[in-house]
Parts: sequence; structure tokens; C-alpha cells
Amino acid sequence: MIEFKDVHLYYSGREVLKEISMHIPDGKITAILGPSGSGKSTIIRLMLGLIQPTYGEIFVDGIEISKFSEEELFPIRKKMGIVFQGNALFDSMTVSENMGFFLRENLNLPEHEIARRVDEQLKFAGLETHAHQLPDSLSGGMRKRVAIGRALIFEPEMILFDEPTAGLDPVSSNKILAFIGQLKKEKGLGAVMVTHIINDVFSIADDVLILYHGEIIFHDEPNKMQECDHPFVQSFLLDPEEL
Amino acid sequence: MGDYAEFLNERLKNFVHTMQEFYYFSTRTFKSFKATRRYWNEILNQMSICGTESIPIIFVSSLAIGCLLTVEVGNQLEGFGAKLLTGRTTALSVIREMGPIVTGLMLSARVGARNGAELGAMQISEQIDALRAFGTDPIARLVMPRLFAALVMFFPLTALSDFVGLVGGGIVAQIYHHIDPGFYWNSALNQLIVKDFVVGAVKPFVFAVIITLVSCFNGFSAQGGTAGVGRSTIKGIVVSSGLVLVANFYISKLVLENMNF
Repeated sequence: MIEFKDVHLYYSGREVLKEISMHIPDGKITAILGPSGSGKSTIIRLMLGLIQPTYGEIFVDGIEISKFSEEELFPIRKKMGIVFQGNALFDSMTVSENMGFFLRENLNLPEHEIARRVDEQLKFAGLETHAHQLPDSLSGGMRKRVAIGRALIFEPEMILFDEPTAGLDPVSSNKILAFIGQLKKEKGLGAVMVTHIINDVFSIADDVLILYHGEIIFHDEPNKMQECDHPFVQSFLLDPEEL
Repeated sequence: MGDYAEFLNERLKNFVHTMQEFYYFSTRTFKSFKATRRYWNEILNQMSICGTESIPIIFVSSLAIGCLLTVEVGNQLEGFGAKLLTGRTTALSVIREMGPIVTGLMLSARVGARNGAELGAMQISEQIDALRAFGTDPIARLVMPRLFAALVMFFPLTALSDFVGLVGGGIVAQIYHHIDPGFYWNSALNQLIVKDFVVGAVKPFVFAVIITLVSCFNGFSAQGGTAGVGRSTIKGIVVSSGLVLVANFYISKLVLENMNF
């Protein structure tokens, strides 16, 4: 479970996040929706401790992490896999090397155990035949699945997605969303998904949290959005392209 | 006037902030030397990239500088009837100054550009964040091996530069100034004293630290897409080259003024 208590973040003299308080339960898919520059991706970075809040507290499974050092954050980060917007794959490594990289780096596992875990993720992501290809030679959807496979390799309790369908064609987007749904169904994995696409939210999210100018203006189930009287939510529901 | 003061204040604040970040970055790099054994393969790889692969450029530039220096020095000394001192003057200039500075500037361009561009591209494609997010210290993984490799390889490259510069000078002395090689080498080597070697030997280590830390820091600070990578790479080269020149002056001054043997 992830909890934010009165989190504020200033960047270059600008208040990027204002008084964010929320809690994200395990085993559910929570979407963070908002226009560009509203602070969505910043929230994911705060959850992983990649940046620290100016004020406020962040709890992961009841542990306050906002002042943790890099070393102290490692066990916390192992609980959460992340899929970056641009995938952040190492372009000089093959698909299987990308997936196994962090196991080799951080866990003292025998090579056969690393190979087993990599094979398992390759199979789950449907990429067995692409194991020895470089990421550049794959389609956008496949690269996303490699990034998801890499995020799953530590067997995390939650997975964070930064714009998982950005830049993908509709077919690939649907496949990725189905894949995220499959993770929840088959592995019981909770997810936080940052997006600006409302269809993604209605497709798979259990909860939605709407950010506007660094503030949470809505946090509930997606079908309750209609009842929200905030002008941004109303105008957004009328014209989702406006986002 | 008020706007200008505000602008200056902002620039000063940014400068102090950058210096603070650079200090923190450098400290973390030196602290991560404890991970040397873990990243030994990466260190060897970096030694090959910054050392072995730099030999051709160091060879060509040092040969050119050594030859040119001997032509000019010989011409000047001839006017005083002291042409036979060409070897000594060339040796002092090459070992104390030209060898280290040519190596420093060439490596600043070659190694600094590579570090800045590679790490900058990793920064903008979130690969550095990915390393952190999955529990790998990017400084220990990416910067420390580069610094270690530079500290090991810059000294032999400078020695190579000195040797090639002197040999080039010797060839030109014989062909252009008609100085007997025996006279050239006798005058070049016999009167060198310990401090001449010390001043030339200290510089590559200082340059290794400057070039690696400045270029890597700029790579890590890259933002604003591919244009940002270009900007950070250029900044890394310009700043490290400038600092190499300044450091060169102060090391020479410090050693030559304080060492008497």
C-alpha cells in the first residue's frame, strides 16, 4: 500500500504538487489522470524515491520513505516495478539481457536461476522468439512488453506505469492494457497507471485519481466521474481530446 | 536595474547550486571506489575505450607538436648560435608542458565528448532513472569505472605523448636543423631533473579527474531531448578543456616553485 500525506513539491520556484494526500491499495489498478504538466509522472517518481518531496510524508507498506538514502530505498524499490514512458531499455543489450540485467546487478543468484526467471518473463510477455534481438529491432508494443517483463523480474508487489499506451497504435494499446489486466488477474498484481487517455482508465482501472494543476480534484471509481461537479472533470468528460 | 540585479542573483544562485551538486556528485564517485571489484569488467572496458583507442590521436598530435616545436625552437636558437640546445629546450617543453597539455586537451575532446554524449543520451531516455529505480547506483555503475580507467590510462598516454614528441623533435632536429642525434638526445635527456618529471607526471592524474567528473556530471545533467544532449556534451568539453589549461598552469607553478631537485 502506498500513502501520501500532505505532500508538496516545489521545482524551480514553482509548486508542482500541492497538498497531495491519497492512499493506493494493493491488488487494484489505480489510474492517475490529468493534463500534461499536472504532476502525474512526478507522483510516480515520488513513490519510488527518485525525487524527494519538499514537505510531507510518503509511506510504502507503512514505512515512511521520503527521507531515505539510495541504499535504504533499494528494498522498497524492489517491491515496485516501473515501466517508464519511453521504456528506458538498454539499447546495446538484447531483450533477454535487458530482462536479466538487474537480477545480475543486484541479487546474488546462480546463472541458471536468472535464466529461469528470464525465460518465465519472456514466455509471459510472449517474446520467446525475440530473446536475442536488440530492442531497436522490435515494435513499440513489443518494447513495452520487454519493459514490463523487466519490471516483473523482481516479482514486485505493485507495478507503476508511466503512460503505458503513449505512442502506440490502437491495436498495440489494447494489447498492453489487456496485458496489464492479465497481470492483475493472474498474478494479483496491483498497478498505478499514469495516463492522459480516458479510454485507458475506463478499460482497466478500479480507481481513478484526477490531477489538475498539481492538486487532486477527484479520487474514486471511474464510473463516479459523472457525479463530480469540478468544471475540469465535466469539460473533460464532454471532450476528452481537450486533455 | 532591478531586473538586471534579479537576473544576476538568479545566475549566481544557479551557479552555487550547480557547484553544490558537482561536489556531491564527485564525493559519491570517489566513495563508490569500494565497488571496484564488482565492476572490474566495466573498468577494463573503459580502459580500452579511453586508453587503447586513444593511442592514434595522441600519437599523431604529439608527433606534430614535437616536430613543430623543434622547428621553431631551433630557428630561434640559431640566431644566438645556440642551436645545439634545441634538444634541451624541446625536452623541457614536451615533458613539462606540451606532452601533458596535448594529451589533456585531446582526451578532453575524445573521452569527454564520449562520456557526455553517452551519459546524456542515457539520462534523457530515462535509463539512468531505470538504474536507480531497480536498485543500481548509476554513479558506481557508470561514472566510477570511467574515472578509474582514466586515472590508470592517462599517465601512460602522457608518457607516450612525451616519447613521441621527443622522437619527432629528434627527427626534425636531424633532418631540418642538421643536429647530430647524439647531441640532440644528450642535450635533451642529460639535464632533465626530478622536478621536470614530477610536473609532467602529476598532471595526467589531475586531468583524469577533471575531464571525467566534468563530462560525466554534464551528461547526468542533460535535459531537453537530443538538443540537450548536444548542449551538455559541448559544455562538458568546453569546461573541462578550460579547467585543464588552468590546472596545468597552477601545477607547473606549484611544483616548479616549491621543488628544488
